[in-house]
Amino acid sequence: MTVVLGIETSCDETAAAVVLDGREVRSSVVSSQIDLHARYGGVVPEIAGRAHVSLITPVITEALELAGMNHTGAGIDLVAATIGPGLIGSLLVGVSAAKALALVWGVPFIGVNHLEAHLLSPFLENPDLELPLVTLLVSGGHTLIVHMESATSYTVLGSTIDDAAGEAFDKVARYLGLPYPGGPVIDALALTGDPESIRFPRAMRNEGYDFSFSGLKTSVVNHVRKHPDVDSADVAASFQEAVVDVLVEKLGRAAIQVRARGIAIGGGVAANSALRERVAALGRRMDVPTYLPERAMCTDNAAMVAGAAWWRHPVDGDTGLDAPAWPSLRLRR
Amino acid sequence: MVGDTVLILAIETATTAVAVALHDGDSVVAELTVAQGRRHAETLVPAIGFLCAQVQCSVSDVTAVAVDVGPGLFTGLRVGVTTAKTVAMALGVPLFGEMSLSLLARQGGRPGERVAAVIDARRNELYVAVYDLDSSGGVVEVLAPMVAPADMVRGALDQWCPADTIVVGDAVEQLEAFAGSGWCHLGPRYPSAATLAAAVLPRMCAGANPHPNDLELVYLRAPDAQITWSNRHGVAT
Ligand SMILES: [Zn+2]
Repeated sequence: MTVVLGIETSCDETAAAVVLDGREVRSSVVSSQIDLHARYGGVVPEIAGRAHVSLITPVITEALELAGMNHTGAGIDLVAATIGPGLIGSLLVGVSAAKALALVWGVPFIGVNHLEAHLLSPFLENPDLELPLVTLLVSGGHTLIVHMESATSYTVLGSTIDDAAGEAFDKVARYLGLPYPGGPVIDALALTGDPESIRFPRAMRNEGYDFSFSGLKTSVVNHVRKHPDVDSADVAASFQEAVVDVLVEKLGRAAIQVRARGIAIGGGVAANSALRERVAALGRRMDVPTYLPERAMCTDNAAMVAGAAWWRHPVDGDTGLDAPAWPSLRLRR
Repeated sequence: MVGDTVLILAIETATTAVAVALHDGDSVVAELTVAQGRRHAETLVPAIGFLCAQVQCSVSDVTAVAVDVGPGLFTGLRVGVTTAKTVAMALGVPLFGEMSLSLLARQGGRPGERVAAVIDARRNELYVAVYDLDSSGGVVEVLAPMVAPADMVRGALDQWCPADTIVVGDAVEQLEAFAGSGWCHLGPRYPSAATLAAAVLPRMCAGANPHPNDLELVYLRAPDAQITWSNRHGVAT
């Protein structure tokens, strides 16, 4: 049995979790800074960095206590933290804390790729899921389709050439005068709108696996300019429909191409209800199991970091205590 | 002092330098400074491990942690303060903070002298404070720590500092226009971890037990986004 303490501070959540053998979540504490950033309409790196420093030790302490442990680290075998990608001033807080714990407790430190943590998060809730798997990873910073042959071997099939899907949600929400973060607000507003009312473009829908969302954002802006009286709910619903159409089309095509035995989604946008419904329907149509993580597991958390460390450690070994953080770390292609 | 039961770990990352020291209550038993590279996150934790190994102790022998709380380089401070908080939390020991500018003053002056400490705050601004050193080597604040453009700092020092004032810190060159004023530019450039350990020792011996969660970093400057927002909305930062 291997017990991992995971730490996540790549953006605006300060999180710590204790996970057994990559599957049993003993505790998962997430302190969100959304309130601190809301009035600026997005995450302010300097404010995020400051908040992480204040929150890091209380959050770690709470995660240990909820897992029935204490500050001595007795029972912890590995300490993991996200080393990238993310905001440098935020990443450094989690990395510094994890290294300090590794030194004091005398256990190895594992630097985790945040994207791999999202990718491996379905294994936390479904350790026996069938492979190969095609995973759609969608968040404010990333839009990726990944073919997973195993938990530790994967191929990136496609990614966005401009905006991430979650970024498009935030930008459209801001244009419509809706509060930050835009994802949940558009999701809720879209429920009362007609997704067929406006035909927004679906860029690159039928070609390859790469995405482009900046043109969609521009046509939303143009449409609202031309029709100032348009119902915001209709705009939100039609915009969301266009995003989900492209995501699900490509996920389905990729799953057929690699003969996937399962499909999964992850990242903050995976909490979107329209996307979840359409991915579930895709799974039924293709007759393959579908893994929709709990909403709390979609957004950034440390359980997925601890889980990923458990999978990667046998392959990658320890990370040096002299390792830097990597703000622009990517998935190995 | 109770030599064998005290071991202070001092962490200093407020400038481009990274420094660590161990103090056993009587004296500094080990000290390490890396003054180049701005590689705080890469250097600090291995340096602590190395230093403990050199004096044949374990990190778990540490009975108190001291850290420079700023003002200074934000990135360096976040690495140092986070590491200090986490080590203190994991060991269940107190965490003491001390300001960068007052540490520089302690290092640069002798009892009875007046010392001005200046640290580079980037964007043509400096962090500055002026202190008098008392007979026991402690500091008395004459000009409270602040951040200001270099020319304003020169004006303030003109007002507060007589001709024989010692100027210390990594921003002394930015006051070079004053070279003719008779100031002694001879102080240290970086706060030292050894001074930090010695500075917190009296508080520790007096039985203070500050919790690591309560330690606050001293920025002296609000985030840009907050300043812009406050200006637009007509409120103070
Ligand atoms: Zn994420």
